[in-house]
Amino acid sequence: MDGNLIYLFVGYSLIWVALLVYNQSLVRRQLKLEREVEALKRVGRSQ
Amino acid sequence: MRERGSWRLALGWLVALALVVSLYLVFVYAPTERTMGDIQRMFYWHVATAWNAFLAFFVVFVMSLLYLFTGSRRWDIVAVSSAEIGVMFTTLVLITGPLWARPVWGIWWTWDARLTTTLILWFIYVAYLVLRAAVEGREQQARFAAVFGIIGFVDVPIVYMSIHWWRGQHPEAVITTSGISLSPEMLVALIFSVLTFTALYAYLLLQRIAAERLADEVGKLKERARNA
Repeated sequence: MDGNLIYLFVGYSLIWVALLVYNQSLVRRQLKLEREVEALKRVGRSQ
Repeated sequence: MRERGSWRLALGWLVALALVVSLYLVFVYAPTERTMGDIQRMFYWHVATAWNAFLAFFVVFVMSLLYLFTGSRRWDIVAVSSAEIGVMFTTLVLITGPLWARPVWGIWWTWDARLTTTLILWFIYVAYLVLRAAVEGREQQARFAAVFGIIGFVDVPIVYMSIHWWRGQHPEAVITTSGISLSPEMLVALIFSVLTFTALYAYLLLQRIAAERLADEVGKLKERARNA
């Protein structure tokens, strides 16, 4: 292994972080929307 | 919806496992390249993200055409989802490229044809997402995005061909019709990484589509509540 490992480490770490953050944001967006759908359906039923 | 969600979750775990295997192939299985040394290992995921950015924008192109022909919202949903993922992959290409260039070329960036056309590609699809959000009315938004998605795709073959059309610093393709300039172990690591990222793209696309459909459902329910 040579001295350029820091660039390699940063590159691969950034890809991992970006993928994890993007995936988490999609999951959170889905959960928020699912809750909103449920709430709107409850309101619709009660009317 | 639950059942579909569990399939997506299973695919997500499978992709995560494949990413770990890919890391093993990149850092342990593939040999160190003689000229560049270990930094050449950046190549595997750099190419995998680039390939999937192209794939994502190709999907935007096809879905945009389908939308213009049919007017069906479902194609628009796939197009916008794919564009967002394509922008993310292109961003990663534009980050890993300079991180590879700095130790090898001694510079972070040069206005080489491949680099410049890739940056333009990124700007095109960021504009696609920004302008799309700025247009009012779902149908106008979708129609505008479809036209933009079709025209924007013109840059993808230009990016691909740029290393053949113009002399620059970016390396030539390693897999061409005249041969493969990689050792068999490197080729295995590359192919596995590209396939893993393609599965990752499919997983993210399904997740993004699910979110967009839910947003549509929320919109419909709100509309119904207003009219009730």
